[in-house]
Amino acid sequence: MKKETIFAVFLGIVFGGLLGLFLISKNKEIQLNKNKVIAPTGLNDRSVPQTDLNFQPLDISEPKDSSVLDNSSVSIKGKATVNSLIVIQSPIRDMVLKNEKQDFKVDFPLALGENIIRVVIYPENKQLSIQEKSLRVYYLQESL
Amino acid sequence: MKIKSILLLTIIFLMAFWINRVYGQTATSSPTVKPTVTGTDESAIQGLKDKIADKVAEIRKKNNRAVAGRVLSVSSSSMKIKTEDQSDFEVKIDEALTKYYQITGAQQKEIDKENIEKDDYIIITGVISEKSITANSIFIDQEYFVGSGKISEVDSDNYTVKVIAPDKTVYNLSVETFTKQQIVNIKTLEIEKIGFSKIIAGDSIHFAVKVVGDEKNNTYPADKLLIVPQEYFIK
Repeated sequence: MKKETIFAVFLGIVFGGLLGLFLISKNKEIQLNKNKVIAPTGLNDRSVPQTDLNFQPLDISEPKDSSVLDNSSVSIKGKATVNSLIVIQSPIRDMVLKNEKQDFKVDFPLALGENIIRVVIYPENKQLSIQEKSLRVYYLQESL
Repeated sequence: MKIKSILLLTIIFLMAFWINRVYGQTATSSPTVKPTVTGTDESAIQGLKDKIADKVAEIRKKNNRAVAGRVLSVSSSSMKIKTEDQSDFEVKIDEALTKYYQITGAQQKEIDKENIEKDDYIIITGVISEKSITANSIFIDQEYFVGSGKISEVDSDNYTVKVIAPDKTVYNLSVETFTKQQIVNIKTLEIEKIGFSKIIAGDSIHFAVKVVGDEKNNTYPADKLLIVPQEYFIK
């Protein structure tokens, strides 16, 4: 066999292979585009139950749960959805307020000993769920 | 040959010099002059001592946490308690350091360890490590429970209120003569005193009760009630 013939056969195999690969990949792409997606879109949105853009989960930054204090009052700092009705209750005191901003801060009296402070948020948007948190804060007079 | 001898001599000389320096150092290492402490030094030492003491107190305060629960058992060196979330906690006692107190209202008085009995509700302060605490102080206190939910039933004959909490727990609260009954004014958000007749099924309720430890079916005499009327949510 002549050299030219061998070269031509080799080139033919190479081009043929490349063309085959190109056609297979193109075919897959066409098939994928033709299929309908059954799974729902926007999965990330579904994981967030609260749909209000202004929704802020109740977060109490101060005081920390189980903290021991030597003052007869404590500053409660936190974040909640704007315009919520906030009810703060302990065995010795009740407080009701509405937050015009996300951040809220109130001075709350403490009884000597254990203080269970329950914070409940009633959002203005009735579709948002009520949120609540309980803290145990200890006002104690001890010498360390 | 000469060069070799000179090199050997130099090495020997250098070694001898080094050994001499080492011995010299040992010989002069012991102090010969006693330090004299002046008044200013003393005040500086006292200042340093105070600073260390403050720092130690600060660290102890920072690590000082509290846990509370009902006493299950008392022994000479430890106690066992059950916390509010029904988990057991070991309280390690230091005979020399742990102090004991009784809280009554706004008063606190020191007591003996023998005053603490099974079923008492105690607060322990100290350093917490997983399910044990090394007690600095132990306080006998009154246990309270603070909850909220929606009123599902009002029994005007027996002065009781059934409350369903958000976690579906049902509480039966009896309204006693000492119960503080209050309502939120939905216009002003002021808290106002009310009578039992103002409590209506469907209202939201916040309550505080004293816990004795032997309650059944979540039935408590209410210490305090705060009503958020349902009208607030439909306005």
